[in-house]
Amino acid sequence: MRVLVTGGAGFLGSHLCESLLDRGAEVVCLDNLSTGHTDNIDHLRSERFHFIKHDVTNYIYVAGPLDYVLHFASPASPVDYQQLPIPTLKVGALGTHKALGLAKTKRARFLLASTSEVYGDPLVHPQREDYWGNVNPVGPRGVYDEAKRFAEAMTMAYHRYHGLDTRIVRIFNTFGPRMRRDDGRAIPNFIHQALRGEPVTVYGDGSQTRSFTYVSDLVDGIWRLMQSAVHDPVNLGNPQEMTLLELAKRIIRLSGSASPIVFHPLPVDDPKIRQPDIGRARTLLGWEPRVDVDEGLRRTIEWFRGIQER
Amino acid sequence: MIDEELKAILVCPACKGDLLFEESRIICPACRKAYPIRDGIPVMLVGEATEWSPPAAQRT
Repeated sequence: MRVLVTGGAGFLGSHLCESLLDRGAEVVCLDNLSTGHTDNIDHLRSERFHFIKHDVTNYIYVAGPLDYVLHFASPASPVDYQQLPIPTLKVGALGTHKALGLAKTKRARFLLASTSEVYGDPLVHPQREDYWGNVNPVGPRGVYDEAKRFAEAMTMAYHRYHGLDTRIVRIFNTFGPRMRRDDGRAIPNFIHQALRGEPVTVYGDGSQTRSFTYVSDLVDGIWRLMQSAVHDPVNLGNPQEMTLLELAKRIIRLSGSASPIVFHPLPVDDPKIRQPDIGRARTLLGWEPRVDVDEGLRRTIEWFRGIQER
Repeated sequence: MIDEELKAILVCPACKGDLLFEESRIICPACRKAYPIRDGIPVMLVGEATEWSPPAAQRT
């Protein structure tokens, strides 16, 4: 099995590469390192793992056969895609096009890493795959949401028009080791602040909800989706919903911190509620998140403690 | 520095041409670019490539 992973040096991409190598695959990893880092993949270096610093919005060439093309390249945190709005749109559009073209040439199976952000600030709750979403195309988050919506449309067009064997996974908030401390997302922020004993900053009144999936569960679901015959999008996420205030309290407790909680104004277009309906993944993939949120948080806190001491 | 299999995978991202491999850089003779190799990683980014001219002896 030979697999190409775009964005393979990022948080999710690196866990995915690692799991593929564990399954005996040969992995070609492309990343321009705009938000990814070689620290995430240094431990993977072997004769079965090839890393190329490459911008996938440019032409992609890989000699030899490929069985899978997994397109994970994109800035993914609001802080990152607001700093990199045009690269985010380009990698969703041009990068997806290049990756699809490569999969077509190689007759490889293609998997798009899409996102729960395609649902925007959802008007139905929880979100099923047949919900079309509520996205502000010109808002600050539009660059990411619309890039991923376009990427899904392009993927389905290659499936319908070229008969390409495609998969689309809509990834809900996922966490674990190798998240960037400064990526602006709630979990690394809270953990970083709690470990340093600084005030933990919650946006708004903290009543907005999210669901958090531990990265190993997500990677397991992606593997199952790759092996399935499901072309339609599939939600992967943990339906266990919690408020951000609750999350902050848990992180403070699990890290043994005495940090206080402070409240800051809510950012524009921040979704108020988000929870996956995972009926499709349950039925078609036999998938279910297994790692309890507290257990996942413990592992993540330990990892952050480790890099903080470095 | 770069293993044989990785050499076989790479082409010039600008012109898709064949490459020449040196110890610390990768050269595209067709569009006269040199791509750096940093920590064993081929940096195939057009923006980070430098201009490359063929050695004088090969010029006619």
